[in-house]
Amino acid sequence: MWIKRHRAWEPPESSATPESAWRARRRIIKTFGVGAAVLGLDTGGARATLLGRLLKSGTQGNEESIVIPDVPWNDQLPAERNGAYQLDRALTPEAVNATFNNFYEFGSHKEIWEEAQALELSPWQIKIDGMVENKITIDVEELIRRMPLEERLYRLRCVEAWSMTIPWTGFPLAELIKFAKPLSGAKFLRMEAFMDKDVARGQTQPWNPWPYVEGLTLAEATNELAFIAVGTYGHTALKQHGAPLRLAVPWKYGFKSIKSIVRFTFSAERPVSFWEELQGTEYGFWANVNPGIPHPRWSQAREEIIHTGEKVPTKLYNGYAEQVGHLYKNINLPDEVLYR
Amino acid sequence: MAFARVLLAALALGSALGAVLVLTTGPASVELGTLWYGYAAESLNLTQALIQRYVHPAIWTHVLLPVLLMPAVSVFTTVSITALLLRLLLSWRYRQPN
Repeated sequence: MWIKRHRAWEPPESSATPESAWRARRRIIKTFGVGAAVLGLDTGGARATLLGRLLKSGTQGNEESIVIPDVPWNDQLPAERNGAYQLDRALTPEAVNATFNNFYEFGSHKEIWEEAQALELSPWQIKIDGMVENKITIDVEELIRRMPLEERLYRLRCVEAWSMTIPWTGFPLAELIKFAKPLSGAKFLRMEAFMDKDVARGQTQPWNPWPYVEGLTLAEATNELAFIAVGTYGHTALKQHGAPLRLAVPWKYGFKSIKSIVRFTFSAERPVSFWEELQGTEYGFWANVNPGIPHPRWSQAREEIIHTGEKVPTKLYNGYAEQVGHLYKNINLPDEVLYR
Repeated sequence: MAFARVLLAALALGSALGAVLVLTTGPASVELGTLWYGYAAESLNLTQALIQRYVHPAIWTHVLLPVLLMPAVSVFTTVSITALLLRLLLSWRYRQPN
């Protein structure tokens, strides 16, 4: 039998700090320490590094955040994987992917998955308008059933210098464009997200230019990589990922991949995107990934793989230069515009 | 204590000037957040991100956002009057003996 003898120099059990208390203390210290450091060192990549550290502290993710929506098109997934799109690193575990999300309609913090559950996905109408032959408002279920679904493995590079690797299910944006039949004068595709401030608390801030809007040139939108995702990890997309329809353009920073789209408009004029209007010097229209062009407040040379904490060099166009590099060869814009 | 008096006086004066500025340059109903966005959108956005990410989302949602959604004139006037009253209270409480 093991008998513990209390030595004179040992503190009594009664004087030990309860685990819950020291954990709370550490959390408070970390919160204020990181907050103060961010406030004081918000230059030269310090913010990105600290953000990475903070994110790394929760890289286990939360299984409860994987709430697969109950929608009529669930039977369409999973779809067959397209082997042309391979990764050079392991997939991000789904629990991590489902726990850390940017979804500005619900706030600018990462843990929005709970709030995003308020989003109602059915009925959900998609409007296609502007300079097209086939102006139509179509139910999202009908649109999904008309499109050729496939699975692709893509890297995602956030402008905040972290990255994920995600198996998306969806269809090429080019298929939707073929369905819409744009007129010859159409040069840009404007995409608009849902607007419902009763659901999305972030939209109660009237000073922000809601709804969230993003845009691509038609050349970009018809590129083979431009993808409309309706699923992740072999099932219907989670609400926090931007269900029922979201964009995935892996050679651009993540904020370009607009979530929960309700409208596609074809136009001759370049649309002004949400972030371009809000903070255009930092988050522009083009936003192509380029490690050589820093964000005004941090470096983009490296990225932190969110689930491992490993820092790896960022690649031009997030590693997709072969597929999209030609799109920008003849565009005469300063690097700070094309890559920010 | 002298520093606190100066600070409160400055706050009262600054807020009063803010209220006058709002009333003379735009609609009286403009929200504090809209006014902030109009002058420095980037700092408003950064403040939201820092508070929601590094302090707590609820602090933004339940404390700051309701204030930012209030008419700027009301906020400035309230702050001005409160600061003035505190300044007078301090003067009375710590008045010098004759």
